[in-house]
Amino acid sequence: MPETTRDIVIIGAGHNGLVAAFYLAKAGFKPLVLERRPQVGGAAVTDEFHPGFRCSTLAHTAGPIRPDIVRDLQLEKHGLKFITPETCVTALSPDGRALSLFQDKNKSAQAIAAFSQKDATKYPEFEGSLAKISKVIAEALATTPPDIDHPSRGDLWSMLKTGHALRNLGKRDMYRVLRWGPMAVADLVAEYFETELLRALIAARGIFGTFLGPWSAGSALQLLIRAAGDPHPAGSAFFVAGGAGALTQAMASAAQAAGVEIRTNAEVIEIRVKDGAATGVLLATGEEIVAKAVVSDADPKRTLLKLTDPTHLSPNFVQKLQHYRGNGTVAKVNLALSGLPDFTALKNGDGIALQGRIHIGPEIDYLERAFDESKYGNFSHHPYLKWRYRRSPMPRSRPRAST
Amino acid sequence: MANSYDVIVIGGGHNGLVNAAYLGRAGKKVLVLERRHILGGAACTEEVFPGFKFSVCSYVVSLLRPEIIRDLDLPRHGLEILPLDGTFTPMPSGDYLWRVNDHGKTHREIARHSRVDAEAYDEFGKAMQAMCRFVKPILSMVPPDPNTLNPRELMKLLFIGKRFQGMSSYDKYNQVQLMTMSAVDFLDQWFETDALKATMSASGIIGTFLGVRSPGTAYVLLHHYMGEIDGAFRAWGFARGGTGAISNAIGDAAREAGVEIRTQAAIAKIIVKDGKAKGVVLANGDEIYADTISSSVDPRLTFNKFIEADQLPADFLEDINRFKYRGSSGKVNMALDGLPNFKCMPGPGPHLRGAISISPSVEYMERAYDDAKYGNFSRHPYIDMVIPSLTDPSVAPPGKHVLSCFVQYAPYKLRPGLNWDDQKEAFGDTVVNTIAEYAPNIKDIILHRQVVTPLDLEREWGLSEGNIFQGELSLEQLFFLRPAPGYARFRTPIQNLYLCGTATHPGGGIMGAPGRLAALEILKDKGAA
Repeated sequence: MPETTRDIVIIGAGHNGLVAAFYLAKAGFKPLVLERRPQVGGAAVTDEFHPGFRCSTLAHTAGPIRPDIVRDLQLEKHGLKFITPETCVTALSPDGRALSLFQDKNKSAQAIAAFSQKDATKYPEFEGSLAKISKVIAEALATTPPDIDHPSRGDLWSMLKTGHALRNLGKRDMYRVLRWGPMAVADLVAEYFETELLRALIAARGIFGTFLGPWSAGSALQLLIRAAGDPHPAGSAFFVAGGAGALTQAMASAAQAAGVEIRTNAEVIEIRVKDGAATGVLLATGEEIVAKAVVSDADPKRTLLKLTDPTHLSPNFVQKLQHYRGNGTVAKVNLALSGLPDFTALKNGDGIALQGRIHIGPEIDYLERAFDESKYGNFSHHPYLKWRYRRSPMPRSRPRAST
Repeated sequence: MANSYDVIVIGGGHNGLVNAAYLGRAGKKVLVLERRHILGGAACTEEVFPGFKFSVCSYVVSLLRPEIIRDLDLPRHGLEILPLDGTFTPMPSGDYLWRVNDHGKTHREIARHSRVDAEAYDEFGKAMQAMCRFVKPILSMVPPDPNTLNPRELMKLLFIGKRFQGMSSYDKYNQVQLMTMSAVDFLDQWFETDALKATMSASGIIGTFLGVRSPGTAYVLLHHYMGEIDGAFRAWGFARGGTGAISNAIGDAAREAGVEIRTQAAIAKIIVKDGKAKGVVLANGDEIYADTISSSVDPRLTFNKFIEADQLPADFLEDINRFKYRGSSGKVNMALDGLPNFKCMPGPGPHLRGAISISPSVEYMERAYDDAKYGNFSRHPYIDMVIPSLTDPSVAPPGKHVLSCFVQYAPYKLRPGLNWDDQKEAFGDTVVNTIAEYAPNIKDIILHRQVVTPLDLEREWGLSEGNIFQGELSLEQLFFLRPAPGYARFRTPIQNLYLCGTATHPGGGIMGAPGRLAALEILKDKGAA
C-alpha cells in the first residue's frame, strides 16, 4: 500500500478542523485535512435537499463564531457574507400574539412593552449585565482549560487573569457570575421578567442542544456560555449568505490559501499508535499516512475509543471517556414549501418577523414538558422549535424554509 | 436591669440553642425566645397521640458536629444516639435490596444483584470518604468573602485551593464532577443496579426542589454522606426519646451555662434605630433590650417580617427576596398497632430496624419530581421510613409502634385551584397507599395518622414555604452565597444583628454548625465577657 509522510494530519474538515489547519499552516506546518464525506464543513453544510431547494442541512446560524477568527482567516475576502437582520427572533404564542426581539435593545424594549412595561424597563438592564458577565466568560473560553491536576505556570497565569477579570466586574456582577452559573435558567429569567413568552424565549437558549430542561440546575450556565459568543439575551440573528456551508467553504478556501491540503472522500479508520505516540493514520482505502502529529476534529469517543486501539490507553482513562456524555437531543426537519406559512400571530403582515428566527416554545412549562418526555426515551410531543425561513436570493428557484 | 441582656437569640431550635450555649459559656447574659410551647424547632418530640411520641419533623440524626457534642458535653445532658442499621429497599418485582452496616453482608447482598456493583460499592465508599475529608473542614469554616482583599480571607481561599491540590488526581476529578453533576449521572459511573442507584440518589434530592437527574444533586448526596456518629462516617441514628431529646440536651447545656430560655414568647418586631439592632418587641407588647440580636429563624421572617423594609439597603433586600425556599417534602407519622409486613420479606426482622426506602427505580424517582414541577404532590412519592420504636421502646406503648415517613415531593406551591388544607388527607392517603403496595397490612394496623404538609411546616414551625433547610441547598445558595452574597458571614447590614440558623453556611440537617460558627463570630466582634 502507498505510504505518504506528512507533518500534521487533521481528521475531519468540520469548521474546527479547518480553523486548526489554518493556524497550523500559518505557523509554518503543512497540514493535511482528511474528510470522510464528499464535502467539507461537517455539520455546517449547505445542501440541495430537494431539486431546486438549498438549505443549511444542519447548523443554520453562524451564531457565536469568534470575530478574531473571522479576522485572522480573512473570511470575508474568501467570500463570506454575514446576514444580520434587524429582527433577531420572533416568539409565537398560541393566543395569537407574537414578540420580536431586535438587535437594538431599545427597539426590543419597545416590543416588550406591549406585554409588560416592567419587563420593558428590565430588559436593557438584563442585556447589560449579561454582556458584562459574558465578557469574562468569553475570556475564559478563549484559553485552553487549565490542567487541574498539574497546573502549569501558564495555566495559573490564565486562571489569575480570569480571577482578575472577575474582580473587575465589581461586587454586584461578580456575585452574579457565582450565583447565576449553577442556577436553573427558569429561575434566572423569573428574577427579571414576568412575561411568560419572554421568559421562555430567553430560557430556551439555556437548553439548546443540551439534555436539560429550563428547570435543570446549571442551565443558566449554558445561557452564559452562549452569551459569551453573543451577548444578545435570546441570541442575535447571525446567518451566512448561501447557508452554513458558505462559512466552511470560506474557511476551506482560507486554509488552502495558507497552504493546507484538504482531501475529501478520505475516511480515516485507524489512528496508528506506537509506544504511546501517534504515528499516523490508516485510510479506508488501505492507504497509510505517516505523520508527526495527528489532530482530531472528531468527538473524543470516536477518536479515542473507535479510531484508536484502546489497548494504547490506560484503563482509567478509557473508563472516563466511556462516561463522557453525549446524549443527542436535537433533530432537524427541512421543508420545501410552495408558499409562505400563514402565521396566526403574524396576521398583521409583519414581514420583518420572518427575517430572523422563529421560536416556538411559548412557556417555561412547555419547554420543561418537552424535556420530560426525552428523559423517558420519547421524543417531545410538543417540541421546542427554532426555525429559520429562507427565501432564495436567486429568482429562478422557489422559496425555501427550514425548520 | 432585668429587661436587658447581652444577647437575645430568636428561636429555640437546635441552632438557636447551640448559639446560646456557646455565648453563655463565654460569659454572656443570653435570653432565648421561642414562639412554641416546646424547644427544638423542627428537632422536636411531641406526644401527638397518648403514649406515642413522634419526632414530628426531623427524625434521624447524623450530621451533628462532634465538636459541639464535645464542647457542650451533650451525653451528660442526656443525649444518646442509637444507631440506625442499614437501608432496606423493597422492589416491585418482589425482591429487595438490603444494605446494612456489616460490610461483608452488604457486599454479598449487592453481589446478588450485580457482581460489578458489589466491587464498585467499596471503591465508591472510599472515593466518597476522600471527598468528605475535603469538604468537612469547609463546614467548620466561616465562608471567606471572595470580594475582599483582606489577607486572612485570601488565605482561606488559598487553604481550600491547597487542600484541593493535596488530593489525588482521581479524587480531584471526582470532586469537580460531584459539584456539578446530577446524582444519577454520578452514580451511573459506578453502578448498574437500578434500585441501588435510585436509593442512593435519594440523598441527593432531600430538601431540594430538584430531581435525581438534576445537575447539582451530586453535591447534596455528599452533604448527606458526611453523616458522622462517634467519628464514623456515614452512620445515621436516632436520639433516644426522639429527635426532641437532642434539643433538650442542648437546652440543658445552655441553661447550665446561665442562659435563660422562654417558650411561648413570640417576637413581633426587632427594634432597629439608626441602623443598629437594639432589642425586640414580643407579640404581647413587651420590649426587651440587648446589645446583640442573634436570629435563628429564616431570612424571610428575620428581614421581611420582623424588620421594616426601609431599614435595609435595597440591594440586600432584593437578594433576600430572591432567596429560594420552595419546600418540597412532607412528613406522615403513624401510630401502629403492629409492624408492617413486607411482601418481599414477610414477618418482623432486623430489616425493619433501619431505614426503609421506597425508591424502586431511577425513573420512579424522576417521575415523582415531574409531578411536583407542575404543582402536584407525587402520585408515587419517594418515602424514607423508620420505625424508631423498634430501637427505642420508650416512644410507643408496649406492643405498639411509631412509623415515621419522610415524603418527597410535596411542593409548597400547588397548582392553581389546589391548596394544602384540602389536599392534606389525600396526600396522607397517597403515602399509605404507596406503602401498601409493598406492605399491604399497613392499612389495618394504623391507629392514628399525623400528616405534616409544607404549609404546616410554615405555619407551625416558621419554616418559610416549608423548606426544611430554611432555604434550598442548591449550589447558588451555598457557602459564600448563603443566604445573600456578601452576607454569608453571619453578619447582616444591620449592626448588632446576626443570623445563626440553617439559612447560613453550611446549612441543612441537625448539624449545629451555623449556631456554633455564628456564636464564634459574635464573640469575635463583641469580645467575651
